[in-house]
This record gives sequence, structure tokens and C-alpha cells, in this order.
Amino acid sequence: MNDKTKDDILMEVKNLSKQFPVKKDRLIKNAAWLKAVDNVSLQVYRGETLGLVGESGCGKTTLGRCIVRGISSTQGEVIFHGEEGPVNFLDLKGSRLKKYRRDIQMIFQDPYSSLDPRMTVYDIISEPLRINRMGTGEEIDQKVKDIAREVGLNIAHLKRYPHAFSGGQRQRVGIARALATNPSIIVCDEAVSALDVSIQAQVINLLDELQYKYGITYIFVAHDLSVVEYISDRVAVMYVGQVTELADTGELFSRPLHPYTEALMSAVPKPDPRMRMERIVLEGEVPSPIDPPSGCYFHPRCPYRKPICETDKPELREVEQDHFCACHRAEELTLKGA
Amino acid sequence: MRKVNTVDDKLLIELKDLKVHFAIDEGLLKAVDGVDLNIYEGKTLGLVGESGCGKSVTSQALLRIVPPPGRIEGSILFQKSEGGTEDLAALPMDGQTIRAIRGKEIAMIFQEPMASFSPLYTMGNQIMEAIKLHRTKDEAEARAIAVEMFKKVGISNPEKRLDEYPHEFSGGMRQRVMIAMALSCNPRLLIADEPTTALDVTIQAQVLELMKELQKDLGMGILFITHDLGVVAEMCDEVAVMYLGRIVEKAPVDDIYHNARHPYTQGLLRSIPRIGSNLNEKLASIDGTVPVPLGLPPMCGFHERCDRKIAGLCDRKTPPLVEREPGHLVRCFLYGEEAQEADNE
Repeated sequence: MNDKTKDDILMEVKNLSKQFPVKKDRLIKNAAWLKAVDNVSLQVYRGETLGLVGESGCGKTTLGRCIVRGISSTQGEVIFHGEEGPVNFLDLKGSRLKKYRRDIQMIFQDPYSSLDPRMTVYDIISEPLRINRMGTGEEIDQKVKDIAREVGLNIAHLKRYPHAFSGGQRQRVGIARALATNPSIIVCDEAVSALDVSIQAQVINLLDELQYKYGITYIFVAHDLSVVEYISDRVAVMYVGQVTELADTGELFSRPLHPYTEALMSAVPKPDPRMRMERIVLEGEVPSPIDPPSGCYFHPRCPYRKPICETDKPELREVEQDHFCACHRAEELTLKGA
Repeated sequence: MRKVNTVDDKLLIELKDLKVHFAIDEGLLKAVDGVDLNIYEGKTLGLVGESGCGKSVTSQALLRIVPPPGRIEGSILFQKSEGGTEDLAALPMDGQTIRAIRGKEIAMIFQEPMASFSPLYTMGNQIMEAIKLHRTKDEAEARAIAVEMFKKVGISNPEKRLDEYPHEFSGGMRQRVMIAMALSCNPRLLIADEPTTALDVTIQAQVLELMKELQKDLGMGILFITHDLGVVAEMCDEVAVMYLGRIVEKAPVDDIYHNARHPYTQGLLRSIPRIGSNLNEKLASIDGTVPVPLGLPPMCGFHERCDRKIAGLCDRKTPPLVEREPGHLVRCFLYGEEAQEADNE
């Protein structure tokens, strides 16, 4: 993804916010708001994998769900550039929404709870096809078998129920279900984090192959930085509901500009005892999005903070070409990559 | 690199041919099937493997908290602080002796900081329960010890936080309380069962640093159970890799990462994506899944997934765990005479 032009944009997330009411006081309804996603803007290019990383509670899952309209957003737009030109996916209703939903699919984190235990795997994979009336009974039957073969499921096992499958196999079922409607973009929400390493590698390779074959775009939500680095073309780092840094994967990992990215990468244990090194251990914990700190949300934990960080909120800006960062000191700091 | 198992190291616990079998309706489930391990004072032994390999059951056996219908065979020789050894495997599960050891001599950090506390009691109440059982009968003194432990694990404002309930603590803080609780009676062996799996990387880094520091101060032996090979590289002196209830490879940590001999260990290491590695390369994976240890014939448990299997050998005989290099044990036919014999045939 070297030459990005406007034509290559598949999806634009514009100023997206999602707030949840927190009922603290029963007399005054909705006394506080939890800003899970706070004014996020992103562009997703055709055929790329955009990684979305951050610690638990940073809003990465909520952002993914807002994008697929699994939950409604408080404000903002998700512009989808389909065959019929750009549309705001969040504005769509009725049959047009249903049509566009085929294009935007999701794979879930937990392969145990995201499949209906009372449906056979065949029914699970064919359900999106039946709902969208994508072909006659015979065509659907053929399609289900093709997809199942594609994701590496045994055709003979399709009449079984999810409990008869292992975690890795179930995740394949989840992928098959998402693939059924020929989507152009799939949001993978922690799609491999519940799997053992050897199985995780199988599923990552499968996702890679499918992308290569069908040109599917992924938004890959994960907390595991090494997995994200492996699979993504570009990576966005989130902290307390906001994107703090966004760049090409290689660039972000070798030359991070935001202190949070640096700390996050240094915290990942290296799978090599010869590389035991001093790490930046962040003090404290992620602040609550109900009552975030003033100025830069990261300043209470930041080892490089200056007085300005406590008062002024840094905007996400293009510090270098295609490298966005929300830090007052992005230009002056030299940070260590992985 | 830290040295491993020199003559000076004091043996703390010795597992000899430990077996934990569960007689269930479907047959005899061999969760742990002949494990030999030594843990030394002040050292960390890593126990690695995928889900279902028996690593957690091994740790439960040490504390004698294997749920029924689990049956323990073999021996668990624990060096008592007052001298002499005690075979934990032979003790009755609810007897006086094991109850005096449990929590005092051997303590455990559980996997889920969310689910391992009672929501009905304050944190202080829960941590003081163990202290009052093993160290002092005096309420005020127990509280003082608890406050001391909270300080040690880096919880600010300990007097106030002792009176708070588990839901008022975040995941990382709860794990700190868990560590404080486990260490409150100065155990000589700490079993850490996936202590950081549920935590975020930055919090994980804090907890790992804390465990390393406390080990340096208190000199306890640690059995570190995890599936995260990054954490193992960071924490352990020696590593044992488990597969299907058996140890398939055991070596000093550096050897595991740079001179792995067992195909399973090699596969595991290849299948983790590494930051900064060649991104165009396809990630190596191990085909297939772990079989269920129910009524398996004698064979190498890994042979179905192994790309270097020797037909007629790996699927018929169980390979022995053999010391191929000093301190480096491998359970694989590839490195033994059997392989050459099979070649000659």
C-alpha cells in the first residue's frame, strides 16, 4: 500500500463518537457519560488490513461495533465507498441498509459464545445467504460447501453442532459465516486472541490467504501487538477512546512518535531470553473514560510530559507523511521502536 | 544469562512420575501422565503448553486440590523447612499436614483475578484469613501484616483499600492483591498459574517486574505456568514443555529458545509472530489439534501433527524422556538409537 489515492479509499470514519450513559444518581437520569469512542476519524483503504490496538477499555471494540452498526453511534459518519459511490452507512435504512450490511461483516472474539449452540454449522453458515435470498436452495447449498472447503472445514462435519468442534474449528465457522455474503470489508474483533498459539497461526494464515484471494479489507482489532504487526498494513493505536497514533506498520513499529506507543511496545515480552531488556514500565493504569484527565489523556502516565500536556489537548495531526500522531512533543522526541 | 541448577541450588520440591487420572464416563482421562520435575529455591521453572496439556492439573496436584474424580499417583517430595521430606501425594486431601502446607509453604496465584475473590468480603478480610490461619492469631497484628503486604506489591493507601471490596479494584490491582495474599505467609514455593494472561501488556509488565523483585527479596521458588512464550523468556530459568500430559522437552531457558530439539517446541516457537521479523514470510503453524487423552495407545502424542514422524515407530511406541545434552531432556525418537534402527530396517 504505497501509493494511496482518494480512489483507493473503501471506508471513511468521520468524527465518530459513542457515549454510554452511566447512571450514578437515580434522581438525575444519565448523570454521567462514558465516552467509549471520542471523535475518531480514520480512512480504510481497499484491500488493506488496518490494525486497531490498545489496552482493554480503550474503545477499540466499540469502534469496530459502531462501524458494522452492531450498536448505534452517538454521532459521526461512516462513509462506505461501494459500487454505487459513497454512502453514509450510518444513515441507511430498510432494504438499502440490508443490502449494504452484506458488504460489511464481522468476526467475533469468542468462538464459543458467538455461535448458536442449537444450530448446525451448516445452518450457521447458510443463514446469511438465506436471509439475503442469495440464490436458490441448490445454489446456497453449493455456496455453503464451497465456503466451508475454503476455510478448511470438513464438508462431512457440516451437519454437526458447534460443541463438536474445537476452538480453532469454530473460529473457522465464524469466518465462513462472515464470508458467506461476499463482503468487501470484515471487522475482526480479537479474532485470534482466544486461540492457542499453534491454532492462532493457522487462523492468521487463513485470513491472509482469503485476503490475497478475494481482496477483502480487514479492520483487525486486537490487543496483541505482535499479531497486529504481522497481519496489518497500517496500525492505529487507541487510548481512552481516541486514536493517538496512526502509521504504516513498519514505520509505527520502528519509529513510533507517541510515548504511549513506545511504552506499549516495550511492554511486550520478547520471545527470546537473550533479549531481556530494560523496559519502560508505565506507572498507574488507564484512566476512566467517564472522567478522563485534563489535557492529553496520557499525561499522568507519560514519562516525557511537560506543563502544556496537562492543559492542552493535542490533536491528531500528520507529523510526517502518512504518519499521524496526537502528541505535543512528537517532533522533538526520539523514541525507541521495537 | 542466569545459571541453572548449579550444585548450590537447594531442591525444594521433586515430582516423580506424577500421574493424575480422571475416571469419567467416557473412560480414563490421563490429564497428567508421568511427569518428573524439580523446582529449586530462588529459581523459576516455566511450564509451557497449550490448553488441555495438563499444566494446570499438575499445579493443582502440588497443592492437592485436584477436583474429583481425579486420582493422583507417583510422588511429590517436598523439602520441609524444618528438614526432612514429605510426600504430598500420599497425604489425605483434607488432612492436617497438607492444610498446614497449603497457603503457608506453597501458595498459588490463580489465573483469573476477576473470579478468584469472593465478592462478599473485603479484600482485607480475605487476605487476613490466610495470615490468621498460619502466622498469628492476633487481629491487629494480622492487619499490620496485610498492610505491609499491600505496600510491598505497590498498592497505594493500603489502610483504606483493605476495607474495600473486590469490585472496587481494577484487574491489575486485583492481581496485585492476589500476589500479596499468596506471599503473605512467606511461602517457599509460589505457583503462578497464568498470572498475567487476563491483563493488558502494560499492566502485565508491572506485575512481572513485581514478581521478579519479590523473588529476589524472598528467595522463593516459582513454578510459572503459561502458554505465552514471551513471558517465559522473560521470567524463567528453566522451561518444561508439556504436551498431552507429558513433558516433551525440558531445558535451560536459553536452550529452549535457541536449541529446541522437539518438533513440538520448534513448531510452537515458529508459530508466534515476532515484532520486527520478516513480514512477508508465511507464519508457520502446526497442523491439526491436540487429541483428547482418552484411551490412547502407546505412541508419541504428537505424531499426528509432526512433520518429521518416523512411520512404524512414533505411532507404536511411547518415546522416553532422555537427557540428550547436560540439562536438556527431550522425549523424541529423532535423537535416539531407535531412529537409526528404524532407518536401517
